[in-house]
Amino acid sequence: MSTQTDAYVPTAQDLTSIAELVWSSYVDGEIVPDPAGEAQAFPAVIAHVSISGPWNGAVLIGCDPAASRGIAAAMFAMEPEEVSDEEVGDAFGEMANIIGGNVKALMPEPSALSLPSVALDTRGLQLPGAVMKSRADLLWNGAPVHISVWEGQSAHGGN
Amino acid sequence: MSLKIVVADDSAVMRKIVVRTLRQAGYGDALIAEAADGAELVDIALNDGPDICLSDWNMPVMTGIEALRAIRAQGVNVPFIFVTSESSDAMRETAETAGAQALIVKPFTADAFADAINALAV
Repeated sequence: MSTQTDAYVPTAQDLTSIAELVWSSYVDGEIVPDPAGEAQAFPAVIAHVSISGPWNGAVLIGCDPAASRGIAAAMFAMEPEEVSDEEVGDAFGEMANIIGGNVKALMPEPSALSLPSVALDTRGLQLPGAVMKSRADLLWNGAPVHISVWEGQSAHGGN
Repeated sequence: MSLKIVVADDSAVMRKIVVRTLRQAGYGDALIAEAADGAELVDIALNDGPDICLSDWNMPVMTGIEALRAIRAQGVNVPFIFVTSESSDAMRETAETAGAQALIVKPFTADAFADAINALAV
């Protein structure tokens, strides 16, 4: 059986490839690597899903409020000003679900994926003890979008 | 006669995307019902006689696989297709054993829906 330490953890390139696939399917505009990503502040709007099984951890997507509203608007086929906070949460949670499901496919089986959790107004991630293992810093419409993989039981903050 | 399709997903945006993709796949005249969880899906499947169920796997209240088993337990053999972000071999085997006809992985294309629905010959 795989352990936390010997399980393959998706790389930033894996996360970028998954994001490109998801964006091309559901969101207008390209998502591309952000060369200045490491210098960006951690995003304010966050959604994450947990993966449990031989490997335990979480997959997180985050961006600023305007970008999250734009992503939701693209997914709902609405204008950004028409999108409610509830719809932003729904769309961003689904984005985490799809990305997390594709990450889960790279992890040892059998694994389970949680329902997504979304925080619309936070400046930090509360996953004490969890360790970020990889992170893709991306740009969509000029706005930073971060996707990261966290390892550790405490990453199970979702529902 | 128009197909009656029920789309089950706890995400409103994903239900909207599935409906949009069905139109792109050539099912623009289908009559669409929506369910926000597996329990609503079971209710619609047992009482409204849909031709096809398209269901997420991971939903609150009742999951998609639980809904499928509940529908089959009532002797209803409506074609059932999972639309899910997860796609392990174990899940495909579980879905097939429970009576699902196909599993479409998110993100999906209109062609994936057309292929899966055309294969049902409904």
